Amino acid sequence: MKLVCKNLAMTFLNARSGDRIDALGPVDLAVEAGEFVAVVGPSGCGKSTLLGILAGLIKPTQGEALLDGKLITGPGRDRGVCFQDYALFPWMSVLENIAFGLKAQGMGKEERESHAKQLILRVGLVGFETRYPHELSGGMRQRCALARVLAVDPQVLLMDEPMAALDAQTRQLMQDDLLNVWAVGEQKKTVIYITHSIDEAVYLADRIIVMSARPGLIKADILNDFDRPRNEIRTMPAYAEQINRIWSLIKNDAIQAMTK
Amino acid sequence: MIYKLRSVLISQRWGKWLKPLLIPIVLLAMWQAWAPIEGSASGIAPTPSGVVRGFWELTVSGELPSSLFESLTRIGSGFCIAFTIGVSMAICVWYVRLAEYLIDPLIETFRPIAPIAWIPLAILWFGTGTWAAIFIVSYAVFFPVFVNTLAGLQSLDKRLLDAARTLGATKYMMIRDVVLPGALPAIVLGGRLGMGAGWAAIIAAEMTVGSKSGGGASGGIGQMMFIFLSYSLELRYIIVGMITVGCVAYMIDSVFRMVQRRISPWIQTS
Repeated sequence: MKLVCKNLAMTFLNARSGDRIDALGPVDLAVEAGEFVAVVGPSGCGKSTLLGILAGLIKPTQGEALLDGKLITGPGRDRGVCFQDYALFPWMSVLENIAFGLKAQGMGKEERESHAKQLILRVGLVGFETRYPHELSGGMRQRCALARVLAVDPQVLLMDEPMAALDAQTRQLMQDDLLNVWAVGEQKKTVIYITHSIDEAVYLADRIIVMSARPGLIKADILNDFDRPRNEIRTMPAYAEQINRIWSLIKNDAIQAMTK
Repeated sequence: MIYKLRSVLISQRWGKWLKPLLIPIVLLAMWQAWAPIEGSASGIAPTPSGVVRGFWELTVSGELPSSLFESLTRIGSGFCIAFTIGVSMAICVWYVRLAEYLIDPLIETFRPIAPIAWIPLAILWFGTGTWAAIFIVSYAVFFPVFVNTLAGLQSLDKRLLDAARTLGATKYMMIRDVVLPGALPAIVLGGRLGMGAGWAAIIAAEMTVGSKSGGGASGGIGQMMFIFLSYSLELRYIIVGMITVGCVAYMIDSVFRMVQRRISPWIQTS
């Protein structure tokens, strides 16, 4: 079992007002190596909190998260994170951003630049090596962020709504790009992918976790084993049925979250 | 006629240069015409032509260049000292959260005290001369540098720090490749504002403190202006000093602005 969450829960304490917010849990989850797991749920259901705990950026107030049986205590390059707004370093070029993780490993300049160039080829950013993030379009930034994460070759990819800021057309193309990058290699990476978009989850994932409204609990754990490659599934009736099935699970919670 | 003038300004290439100078030229002309009416040529109201003559005389005698050089070295030294202390302190205060509670009240108590209020103490401690002036300058430069550096550090996007940590950045790498570059625009802004404050402070300080006997070839521009005020009533020389001070301040500020633009192209600078 690659990733395990045991009785995981998170309560945020507002130091000033004394309010306690039960953001997440308790949650029990087991993810196998190489699985692509999507997490969907209404706004505020704690999806990002769950990711933050798995990334080691948040310490849970209850329970534990394990990677390969070992407790997750902090961030590390074994779990790569793709943030919603990409979090690219604005003062570094595309090449430098991608090479950052390699620099952290102590790799020499020549070596890490050639590594980074390979990744640039892989994500399709050739010609933009010396550009800065503010000169790139949304789709390009997303690819740069992905390349940066892949550079350190993590076994686990934690992605927090990475395509949320993209327009619909770019998003469709990027989804295919992501699947191509993920499917490469003998050992597929384990992916936890948070999204608001149900059709995105059905398109990408092997398995879909549906979360309830706050405090976020796992409402359903749905198998999503359409054949790969999935370019054609959007035209299949089973695709729409799956989306409707999941939406009916979330719908009431979503309405509640909106009116609260 | 105004429309004709306007169309000339827009159409001709030299119109671009003339436009910002138009109002100053008109004001200068008015000044030149008014001055002789009010008083004698170099009396209460010096004329522009008198000021230009003053510039020439002071430059040729070497007094203006040497005073300017003296003031610039003082502000340069004061700036370097205060900048180093200010940035280091801000980094420490940011890093050690507790330090903020301890240091902040001190900073906020002293910040409103004008630099020139320290002149008597400065003279007592350093004597009249270069070091007292440098002390005043350092004091003035310190606060904008410290406050801006700290603000820059505190407003660093936490996401960027998180991203760096998830990529396995060492503590050393965090400071060198993430924190400092991220805070650099604010640090440069602090330097720019500090320099402005320092330049203003040096003039005031030199008027009281700068002295030929205290070390340094001359007493700086402030001293030069003060001597002309008290020992001769050559007002045009004082105006020469004022204009020089203003122009140099503007040039220094432009340099900083250029640095700001170069190091942070992703930010719009005012």
